[in-house]
Amino acid sequence: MSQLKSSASERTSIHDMLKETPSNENRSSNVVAAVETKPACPYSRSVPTGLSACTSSPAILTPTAPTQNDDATIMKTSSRIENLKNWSISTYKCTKQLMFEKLGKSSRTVDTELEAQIEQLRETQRKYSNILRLSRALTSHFYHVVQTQHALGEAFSELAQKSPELQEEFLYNSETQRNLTKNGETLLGALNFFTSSVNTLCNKTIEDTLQSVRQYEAARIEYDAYRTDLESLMPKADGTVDFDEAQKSFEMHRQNFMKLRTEVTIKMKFLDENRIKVMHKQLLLFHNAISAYFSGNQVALEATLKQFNIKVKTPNSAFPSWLEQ
Amino acid sequence: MGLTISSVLTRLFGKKQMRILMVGLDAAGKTTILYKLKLGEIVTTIPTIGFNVETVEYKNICFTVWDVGGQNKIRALWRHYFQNTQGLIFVVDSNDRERISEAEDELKNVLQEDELRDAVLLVFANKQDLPNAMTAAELTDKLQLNELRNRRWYIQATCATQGDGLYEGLDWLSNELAK
Repeated sequence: MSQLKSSASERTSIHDMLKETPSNENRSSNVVAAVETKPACPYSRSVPTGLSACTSSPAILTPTAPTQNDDATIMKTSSRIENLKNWSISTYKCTKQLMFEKLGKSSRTVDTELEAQIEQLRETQRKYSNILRLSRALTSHFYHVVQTQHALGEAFSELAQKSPELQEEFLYNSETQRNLTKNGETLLGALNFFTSSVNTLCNKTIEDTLQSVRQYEAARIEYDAYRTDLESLMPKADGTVDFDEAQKSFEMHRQNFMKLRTEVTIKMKFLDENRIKVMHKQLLLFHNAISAYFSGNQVALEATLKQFNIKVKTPNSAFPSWLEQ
Repeated sequence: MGLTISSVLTRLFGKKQMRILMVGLDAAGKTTILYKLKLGEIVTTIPTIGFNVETVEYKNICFTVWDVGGQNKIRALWRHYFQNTQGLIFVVDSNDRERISEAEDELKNVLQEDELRDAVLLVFANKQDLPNAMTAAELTDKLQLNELRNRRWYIQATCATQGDGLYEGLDWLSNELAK
């Protein structure tokens, strides 16, 4: 069993990439060798990596409509039927493969290392989503606190004018509430910035990589389906039309699978660097802002917001309405 | 049922989403533009290794802007972020006359990508404040934008440090999205 490792999977970071540009030409030489690889153990195969020169990702399950520029309707219909036929065969094969895998009747290609990383990424997304949910709740509660303080400050100051006997007492209370409101709004600015950035990370950046992962997983099933197909034809005399065709489509799906596998490997590395960079900044902001506010250090709070270039919005727009969430 | 209602509510009140990919040669000012849009401030930037993502809300549209590093050796990364891109922002340093043909090549390569065939193109002719900067018309010519077929494109003169032109660019993008 040959085990080939792509240079991409050995690379540890983008910084290494900077030193060495990926060369698609070199890796495509791996492609041919892997065709005859037969699994020694049906349940775990190491996958040789090749990267096809093609950069687009054709979705095999949904064939695109061919360009129809001539008016021959028969041609159109027949090509549509052809598409439908291909699509049904492909869907049938993939479903069968999926069923057999679940029943344990068919082997599947497993890349333990990559799949562990994918699982870890999904776990990270779940955990960050939880942080996001909690910090949003905190922001929301705190917003209401600030609103109440603001109203209370107004009420105190009104009473200070109307009741001369307690004027001084009402005045310093209204003063305190106003100061608290002001600092609270500053903290809200920081909290909103934090939630917005974590939201971007969680629901855009990580999601983007997970989308590639889903494409990769779909390609894996297709690849395994066509591999099983080819293996079932192996015992028969090769050179027949069926066999050639099966081999051709197997090769096509294998290349697609390899391409997506490389893509997922690379994207996960970049994602990791981005995640660390973003979270480092955001956690620092969150900590500094919260600790400055609750220790009553107004100067440090304002310095923190300045450090992270956050602008505190006017009181009315400090918190987005529920419609915008 | 609940899902249906919430999806209807999102359709009615939710923000439109638009995925933007921002590429260009190194030192064109991509990251500066990104944070000027996000924070309204000029942030000191270092050459981007990897990428930055920020969501920018403008005119009730939620732009997710992907800013991918432009150094020669990491331009191969760009293609990993093509999927689902609706708008491509290509940032050019208008003052860099020596590398304008390099920029043209990169733009051409990117536009050939199948995944970007439906994306609209916005060119930011950045650094217009510099004395020797090429005008938008000059850049249109140099980048051969008029020869583009089947592509909606727009060129906008910008100065990221002043913030000039950036929102005009987003305006165009949001109008294109509405079409």
